[in-house]
Amino acid sequence: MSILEKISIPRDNVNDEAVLIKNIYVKDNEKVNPDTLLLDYETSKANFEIQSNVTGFVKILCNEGDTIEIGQNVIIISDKKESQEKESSKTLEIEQSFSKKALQKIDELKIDNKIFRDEKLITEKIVLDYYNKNKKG
Amino acid sequence: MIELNKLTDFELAITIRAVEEKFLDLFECGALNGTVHTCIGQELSAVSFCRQLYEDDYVFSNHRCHGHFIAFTKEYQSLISELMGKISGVCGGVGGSQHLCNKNFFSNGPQGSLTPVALGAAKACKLLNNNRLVVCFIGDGTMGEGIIYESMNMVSLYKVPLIFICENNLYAQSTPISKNLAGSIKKRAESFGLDIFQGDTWDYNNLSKKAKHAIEYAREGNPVFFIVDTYRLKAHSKGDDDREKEEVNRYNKLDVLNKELQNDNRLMTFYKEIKSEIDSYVNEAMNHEELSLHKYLDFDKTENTYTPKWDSHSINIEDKQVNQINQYFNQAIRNNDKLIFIGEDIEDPYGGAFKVTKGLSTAYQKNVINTPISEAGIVGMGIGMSLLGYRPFVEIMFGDFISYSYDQILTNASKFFFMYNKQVSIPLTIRTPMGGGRGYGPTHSQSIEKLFNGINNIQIVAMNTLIDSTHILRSLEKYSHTTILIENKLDYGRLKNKIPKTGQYNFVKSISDYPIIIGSPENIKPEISIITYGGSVHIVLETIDEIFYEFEVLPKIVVLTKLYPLPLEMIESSVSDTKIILTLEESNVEGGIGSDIIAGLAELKNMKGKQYKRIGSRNVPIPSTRSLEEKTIVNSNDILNTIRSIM
Repeated sequence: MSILEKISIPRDNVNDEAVLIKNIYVKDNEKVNPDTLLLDYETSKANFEIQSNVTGFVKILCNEGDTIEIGQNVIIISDKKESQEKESSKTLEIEQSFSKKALQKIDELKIDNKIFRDEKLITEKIVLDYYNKNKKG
Repeated sequence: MIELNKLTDFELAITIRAVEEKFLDLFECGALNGTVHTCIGQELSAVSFCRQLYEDDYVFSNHRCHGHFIAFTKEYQSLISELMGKISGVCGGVGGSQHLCNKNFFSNGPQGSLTPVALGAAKACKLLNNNRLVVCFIGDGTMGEGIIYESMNMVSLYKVPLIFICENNLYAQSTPISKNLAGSIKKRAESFGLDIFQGDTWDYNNLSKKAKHAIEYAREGNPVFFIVDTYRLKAHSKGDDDREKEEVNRYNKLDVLNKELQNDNRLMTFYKEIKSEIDSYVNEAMNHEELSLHKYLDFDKTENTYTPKWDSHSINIEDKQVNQINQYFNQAIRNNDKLIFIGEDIEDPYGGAFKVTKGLSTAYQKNVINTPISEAGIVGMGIGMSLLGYRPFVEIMFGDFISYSYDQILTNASKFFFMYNKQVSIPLTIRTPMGGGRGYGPTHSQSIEKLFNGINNIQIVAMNTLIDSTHILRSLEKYSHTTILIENKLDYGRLKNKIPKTGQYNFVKSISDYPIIIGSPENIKPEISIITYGGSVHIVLETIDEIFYEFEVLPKIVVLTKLYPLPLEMIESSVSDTKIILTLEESNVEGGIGSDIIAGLAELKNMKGKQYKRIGSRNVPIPSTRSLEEKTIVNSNDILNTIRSIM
């Protein structure tokens, strides 16, 4: 699955740091086309609408009545419907952080990064320790 | 001892002359430290007004203030002691000739600086409905200063009980009026809608009669500008007199007191008596002590002490900062009717440029004062209202504009407490939003709090979104001195703080009036501390994930709310366990808050061997172009580059 478009709240005027979501016109996993009305929101000056630019399936990240900061994503449009399995692996990713060096080593040594699922902060040292231990074993 | 309140007007005027002649003698023989500006020749101006005031009216004066002081307070001993630098002086000798304070009498040297303060006192009198009058003495030379016009505008606009008395002695120090004043003093004052009165010290009966009329008229809430034509018979100060001798002689002959002394034996006898009494007081005062440094510095410092106690802290935002501030005051004014809001465009329906005061003027009409565009004027007004027991919160619409009020902060708000030997303090808060990121460009985006750093008795406090604004405001409401409260434009509307994805950050808050908040990673020992404040907190929070990604370290975040005086002991205990200490501020680093933090830490015994680095914005005007503004103002890349340069 790949993301086709991330919809975030643009800065319509310099006085607002956040806007109010008024209406959401689509549902999760609903197929949308270019120009499909997705939602509208209220700033301190006026109401604005957001439409899709692509064809794809939506994932909604906000609710009607939410106050959302400028720049925050509100809808993601992907090429496929989102499955439950993908959702859980995404959650795992969010809880873990790999350093750049760790990722380079993982790639270089061809290690499956799921091996580090119990670690929260994965550094180059952790990767090398794992590699050396298993090589010996 | 001669009782001054029982004297005739001429006797009182002669007393002023005798005291000032003694000052000149003492100055000649080196017994006075500093300078003396005498009003010899102008005494009847002081007497005509001050004699006819209530004891608890208010008098604001200037560098040439001795006559006003004696005529209003009806005493001269504490004035003599003051100029002799003795502890028995009215300000313990700290103020000297130009800086006097005695109950409702205040003087300060810089031209016009007290005019908005007098306005504030008069505004307070009007709000208190106490039938008291404010008299503010200025000179013709004062007409060259801009602040007098801001003050005249507001005095007339608010119809406060105040008289400006312009003693026109024809010279601004050494420069004659023909060379320093265009147009006419009268027309300038008239144009503000002030009622003009005029008299001179050569026709005392007429002057006194007009003064009485002006006092009664102004007391009713009709502000007056009174021009007193007069002449100073002695030098501006010390011996700096370049005026034509013929001119001075001509005015010496015109002088009413000189003529009365020649014609009235009784007055001459009094003159000799008072001179003798003054001589004996001077001899007595010679033996008085001078204020010790210990006593000069001694005051209640409890508000500046820190308790090294910490509490766990959540950085979730309950409500937008702008709402927190608004709601705090909505409650606070209900409990304290002395809380006053002063600012530009702060009344409903506009409610302030950032809507901090929205609804307040509707709920509390008397407590919200909408003002002209006059930053110096409104800060001065706040100082004046503070003197009468109010607790003003002045809003400067954009932090950039606080520079207009620099003189009021430096000359009055900062100085009064020590200069008047702790007789008064100014519990004023000046709130203002700093910071860029909104495309407002070079003059509406700066962070210039550092320009106020280190001013005696002016504390600088910075809000941030990791802490409830109520906590800070509550502390400020009980603080006895002046605070510059820095807010941040982008922080007003923030709904949440970015929690770093990397590592589990735990936050603690110091238990103090102006807390420090520390964020520490749970899973890794931090090697770096980043000390920051205000809106810059968010740049750090947003960079933490990238710092781990590139450097495999997680920094400790130390967020200050008190920027001056710095809580150095607490900062030390917060960062002493890390090797690298970075400071981050939105201004450029030169002469900045970060420089002071690092200098302060580097001087501590336990902080030797650390590596320090300051991070800030580029030292150029902040451009309006979005892409350029983003790169000019300090950002994540600046933090990453700094760490890269030292790791």
